Amino acid sequence: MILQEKEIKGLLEGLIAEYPGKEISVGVSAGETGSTRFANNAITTNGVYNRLEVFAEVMKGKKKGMAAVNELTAEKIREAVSRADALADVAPENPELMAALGPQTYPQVPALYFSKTAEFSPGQRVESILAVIEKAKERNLTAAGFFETSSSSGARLNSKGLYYFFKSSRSYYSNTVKSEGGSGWASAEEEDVGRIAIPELAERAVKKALDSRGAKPLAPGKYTVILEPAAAADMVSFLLYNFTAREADEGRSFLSLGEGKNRLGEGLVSPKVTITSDPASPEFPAFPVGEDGLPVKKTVWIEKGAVRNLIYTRFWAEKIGREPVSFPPNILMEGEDHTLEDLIKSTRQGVLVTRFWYIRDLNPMILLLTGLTRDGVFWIENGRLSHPVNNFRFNESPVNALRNIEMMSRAQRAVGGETGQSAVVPALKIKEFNFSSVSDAV
Amino acid sequence: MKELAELALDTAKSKGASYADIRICRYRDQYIFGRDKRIETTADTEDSGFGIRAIVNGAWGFASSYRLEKEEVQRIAALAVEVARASARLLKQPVELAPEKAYQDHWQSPIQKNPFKIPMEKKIDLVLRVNEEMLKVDGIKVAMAFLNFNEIWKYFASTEGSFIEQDLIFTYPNFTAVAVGAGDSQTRSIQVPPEQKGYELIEAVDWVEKARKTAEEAVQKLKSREATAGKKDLILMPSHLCLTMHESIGHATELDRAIGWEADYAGTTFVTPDKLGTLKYGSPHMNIIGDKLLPGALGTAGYDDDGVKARRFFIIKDGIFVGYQTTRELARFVKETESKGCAYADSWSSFPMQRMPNLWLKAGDKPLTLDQLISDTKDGLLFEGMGSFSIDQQRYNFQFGGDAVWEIKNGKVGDMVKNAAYQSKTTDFWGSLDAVCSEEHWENWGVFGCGKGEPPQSARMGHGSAPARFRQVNIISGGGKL
Repeated sequence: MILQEKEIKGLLEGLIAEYPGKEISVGVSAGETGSTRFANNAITTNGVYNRLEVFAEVMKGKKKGMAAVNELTAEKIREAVSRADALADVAPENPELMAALGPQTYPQVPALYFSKTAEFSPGQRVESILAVIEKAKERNLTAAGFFETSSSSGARLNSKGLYYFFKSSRSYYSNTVKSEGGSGWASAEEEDVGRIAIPELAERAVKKALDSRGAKPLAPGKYTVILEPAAAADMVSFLLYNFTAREADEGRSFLSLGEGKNRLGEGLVSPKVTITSDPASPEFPAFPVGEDGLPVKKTVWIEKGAVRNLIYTRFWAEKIGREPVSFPPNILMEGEDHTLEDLIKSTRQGVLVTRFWYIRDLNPMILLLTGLTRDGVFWIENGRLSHPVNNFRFNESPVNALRNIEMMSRAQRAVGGETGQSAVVPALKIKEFNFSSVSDAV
Repeated sequence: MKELAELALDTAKSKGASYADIRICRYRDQYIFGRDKRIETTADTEDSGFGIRAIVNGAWGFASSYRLEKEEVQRIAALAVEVARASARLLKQPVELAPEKAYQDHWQSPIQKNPFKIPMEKKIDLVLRVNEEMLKVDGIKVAMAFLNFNEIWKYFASTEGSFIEQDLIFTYPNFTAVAVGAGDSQTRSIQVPPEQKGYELIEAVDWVEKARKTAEEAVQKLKSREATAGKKDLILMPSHLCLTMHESIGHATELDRAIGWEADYAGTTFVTPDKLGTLKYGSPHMNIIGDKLLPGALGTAGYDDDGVKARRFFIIKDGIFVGYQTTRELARFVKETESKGCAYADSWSSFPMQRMPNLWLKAGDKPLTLDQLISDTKDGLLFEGMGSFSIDQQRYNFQFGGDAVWEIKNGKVGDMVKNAAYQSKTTDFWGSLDAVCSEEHWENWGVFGCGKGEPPQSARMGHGSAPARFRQVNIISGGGKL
């Protein structure tokens, strides 16, 4: 169920008015998600899921309490306010608690809500999946996957007049196709379900499943790799999610330089690399609201290899004497004027990686990550895909990986296999990428 | 509740469902985040609603809502039937549920002190005292604390006549000291597991003493040398082995993965059904039990979310794989006539799926103390607590780090080392198990947030063991410079 702005705003204004002189913030969000899961060329689960969250925060000077319920009645919300109030009473003063913000002006962003997505029915999802399953069956393959369409809306209002409303939709599709000894995968995420090209995603997974049959052994070691955009998206996302200024200043991150200093302004990765965030991106728009209701602006994180911005919370920004910088609402990395095929053609010997899986942090001081390849790894010989090879575990830092970039394709929106989230990234050709062991998984 | 449940079931039946069930659930969560000498968050949240499953023409449908009202219950029951009917178009094999008795019962966690009745001031005071104690240790830059109390109330009813009410309570403390210096940073956490217990779990621990020791070890870890790569014997403490068992045995022996249902997300498994009863998973010291009955463990309940009464079963016996985790729907895929009781949904709005029960390693039969095990080890590493973890989508290749790692030299525990991790292949690793300490060293640990499924669901389960030794495992070093 999508809540309309008029009904939410009225409810929130009425509640705030009930507590004159009290510093409170109330918010509501509601959504409906429909999802269909399939495996072994048949539907396994199909469902419709509704949710509602109502929260209340009460601030008393430097003390704060928070409570949440999931009933949309004034009585229940009053109960939440009362519980938050009691928590604020017993909470000790938090010197880092920032004052509530007043009204803000938010940047215009492209449409985030598409009624076609919100109204997509279980029957329509099944219809789309039917075509994928037929395609898999025709070639003696086995398809599994997930198709989800959702919509949500919500608002927040505080006693200082900060107010925002949001309405958005999301569609996500993923399919894995298995052949005898091979596996392929493709995925996409869009606000508008009409932009999810299911036949193309199915075809990509089918082709990978067929091409990856009969993998030959390849020893672990350092190789030139070409990361398809889904694999590149994970590497870049893990880098950006760790761009927090406080950790860097406290000596707890790969961005630390000791004695309270960080790498801001320093060259960190290849000069080929420029990464930004922008909620107004037409390709990957995002909701322009950050910490405590701050507007989120376009942010340059890395420009020609140098660190231009870190994530500064309101408290840390004030302490350091800078403007706050919100967590990246999206990730947009510039590419070069090449195709994936150009990258392969330029490679004498190397490994093409479709996607990664199960990435975890091993050492935050060098941002050393470990994870595995999945659903199609191919040996490149003299500019051509030669044959499939086994999967690998990698132990590598995205900092090193982005230092060792030799060539990039044009950027495109891709879903990371590990994060499950989109980023606009190119395919990356990287030298000396460290595969530490072989995985027998197919 | 019974009236609403019956309305849902009658509506689903009248619309054409051959089977239906409803779960009406209420979740309450209280959490406190503290950093250094401050409390960052005190929160108290609740979430309630219901989910209805229906089978029509052999296919599942599911719908859920947060509005527990008569009209809404009828609407959602009809919607679940409609969704099932749409799914039936792509049916390969009609759903068949393994038979289970109907139960009218009430079950609750055997707690001593309801944590929601303990004043918030007392919990805040604990967080501040622990953090303060950690910060007294020279070299500690940050102290982080998290206290979480969680209550799940659920009412299950099915068209087969079950009406089951359950009330579960969980307590999860987590305290971490961060040492910083000389261009490095290392963390160390207090080793107390989350359990299905009340506030008695908190009161049984001398937190201040543990805070001091943990903080001192964080500094020791910071000053320690990097681990060196190579083969070593490993002694894994229960606090560490918990996650290794979870990933390399727990997920690998889930039947839904084995038959491909998880292929698009978490993956499949090398433990395929043709290996049931024959696969040599590990050495004869390896006895793994699936268990929904273990007192205090995170996965314990009276009944699962299919309404199946909790039970205990062997997964691996004397090193041989003998049993999958199953649900009522899955049992027949391995020609079994009853479910192992492993259905679980993480919310009223989630579709129940096969989730891991508590899963534990049986202690060694012969008397063996930890000291004896260490004395008998010439060149090894001892891992305590959980660190970095990663495993492939068929559960062959894994890599695990620890919260703290010590060298063992000539039968004695020596210096700490940092950034150590081990890499292995599941059956090689469990094949190298050559000793498990005896019963008096057995401890129950657990995983509080295990993800699986699309849409993703989170679950919790206990994993117990005694300290165990694995021979000649490949160690890697995660150290180095940028």
